[in-house]
Amino acid sequence: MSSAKREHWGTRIGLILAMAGNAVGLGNFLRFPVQAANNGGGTFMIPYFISLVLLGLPLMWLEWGIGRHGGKYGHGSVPGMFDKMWRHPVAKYLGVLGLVMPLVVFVYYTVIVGWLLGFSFFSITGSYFGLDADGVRAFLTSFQDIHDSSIHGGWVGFLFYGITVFMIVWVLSRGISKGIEKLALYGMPVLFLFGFILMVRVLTLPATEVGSPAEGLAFVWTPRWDELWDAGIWLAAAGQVFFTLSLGMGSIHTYASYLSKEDDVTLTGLATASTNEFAEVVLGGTIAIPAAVTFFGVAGLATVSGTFDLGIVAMAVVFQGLPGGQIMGQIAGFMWYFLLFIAGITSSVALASPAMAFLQEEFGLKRPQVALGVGLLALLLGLANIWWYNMGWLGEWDYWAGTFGLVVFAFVEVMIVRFAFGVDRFWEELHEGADLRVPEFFRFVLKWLSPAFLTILLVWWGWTEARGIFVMEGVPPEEVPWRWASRLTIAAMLVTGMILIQRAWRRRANEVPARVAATEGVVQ
Amino acid sequence: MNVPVLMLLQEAAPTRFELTAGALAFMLVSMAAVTALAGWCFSQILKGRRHFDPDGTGPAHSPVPGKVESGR
Repeated sequence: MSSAKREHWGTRIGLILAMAGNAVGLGNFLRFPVQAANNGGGTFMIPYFISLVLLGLPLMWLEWGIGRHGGKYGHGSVPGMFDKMWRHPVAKYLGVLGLVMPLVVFVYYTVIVGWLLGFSFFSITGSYFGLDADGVRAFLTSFQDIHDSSIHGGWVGFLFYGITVFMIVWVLSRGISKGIEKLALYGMPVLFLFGFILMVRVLTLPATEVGSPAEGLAFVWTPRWDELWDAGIWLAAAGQVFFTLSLGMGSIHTYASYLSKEDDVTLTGLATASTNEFAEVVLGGTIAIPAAVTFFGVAGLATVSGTFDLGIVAMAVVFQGLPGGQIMGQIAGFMWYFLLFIAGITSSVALASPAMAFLQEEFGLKRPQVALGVGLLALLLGLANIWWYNMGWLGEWDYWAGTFGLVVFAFVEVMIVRFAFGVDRFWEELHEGADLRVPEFFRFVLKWLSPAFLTILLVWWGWTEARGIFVMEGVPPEEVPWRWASRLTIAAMLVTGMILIQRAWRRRANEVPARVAATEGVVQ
Repeated sequence: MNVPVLMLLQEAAPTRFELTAGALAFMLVSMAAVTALAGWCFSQILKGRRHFDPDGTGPAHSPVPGKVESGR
């Protein structure tokens, strides 16, 4: 542990916006409306809000509490935090999940953020104007695929990725208060402003022959009561709550570690979660799908095959059809893609923070050096994601780190608090300096429901999906070796993380006798 | 991340939707709930205006209104 004084947040509103920036991501604007539409429409909101109360908010408070507790001992990353909560040699190694998984997600997420920066630029230049949905899809594919030079040079996508990484490195190197907090203080208001303007623009669009904004809203929100008792809807809702609050990532822990024990985490945490929910339910539910339904109709939307097809391709066609001519379309297009870019870059910065804190605090490295190192690693590993994108590399990373890894990590942290640290002790700690007394009901939830829920989730996954996913059922044979390579890369990163943890603790063990000897020398 | 957008339609759902009172109610109640929660949180934070000093280097408490030296 570095003896240097730890950094801190400059303002409470800066902390809230940075935490909200961590949580508000592409999932709020693209994943949420798609999940709602596919899982019972308005009925989806019943399991969604129940999951928010029973899973999302308790886990969110849990992660804020763990983070602030670790920060008291100078630890900004999960290995050190777990080590302080569970005095067992294995605890710090379990923390590797909160160190490596966010780094893996950071790499591929930043690739996607680079696409959005690219499309912000293409909106300003009007590059995709005049193309229909198939044309935009080909335009996007050529941009994503470094081997496809049919429209863009293969390097164009990598260039925008490089610019995005450079921006992230710059923000990270400036530190918590001057870098991350400043990015949130400027970026988040712009995100909400753009979101609000786009929402008003979409909702006031005139109806077309194939659809209208009201029909889009109906498509997302019409309740289908018969589906309420479908277990799949409840799992989808729990999953969405999990992703949208950025739980199980390790980044909330790191951000919260820069607070002192007198600083409130209960009300501040709730403010962060509610800001994220506002972005998701109010803005996310009223932009992409209502706009797409107005121009394509509900039936036409069936040709949209995925989240990116909706968020990038369909919206690019929508912007070309907006009243007011091409210039209005270009402005709206820029606002949409730049909104997503801000949502993405604030999350990317948060995802890189656990690794930053670990290397700084456990190895005494300087922040700019570490930021540069993380940036170079991202460029190298990001290139693999870009190079083998069509071979499913990114998809594998998204599944194992960005989906499965989150649940496993959340399971581990809940179990450590439940059985090693103690929920009652944690509850007392959580309320140190608290501005809001969390209802006692949530103590019961943390003690019994959260561990049970996560256990059921993992058992259900193991029972229904694990084998098929592990042996890659239905995956084209040419992709199999590359998908295995991507999995092995994650495994190698986990092993490297464990070796670094071992070295950090050895270094710490050597430092203490040296410090004692130096003190004795002074005394003599 | 690549979630099929319209599993619903692939299962032969209607191709035209009407914004019914039920859908509108679900939408408005959901939006009102999250907006009210966010509004309440921020109002509490602004009302409370607690002393924020994470590094412990600032003054022990916020300036007391009326006791701030004006410099005159």
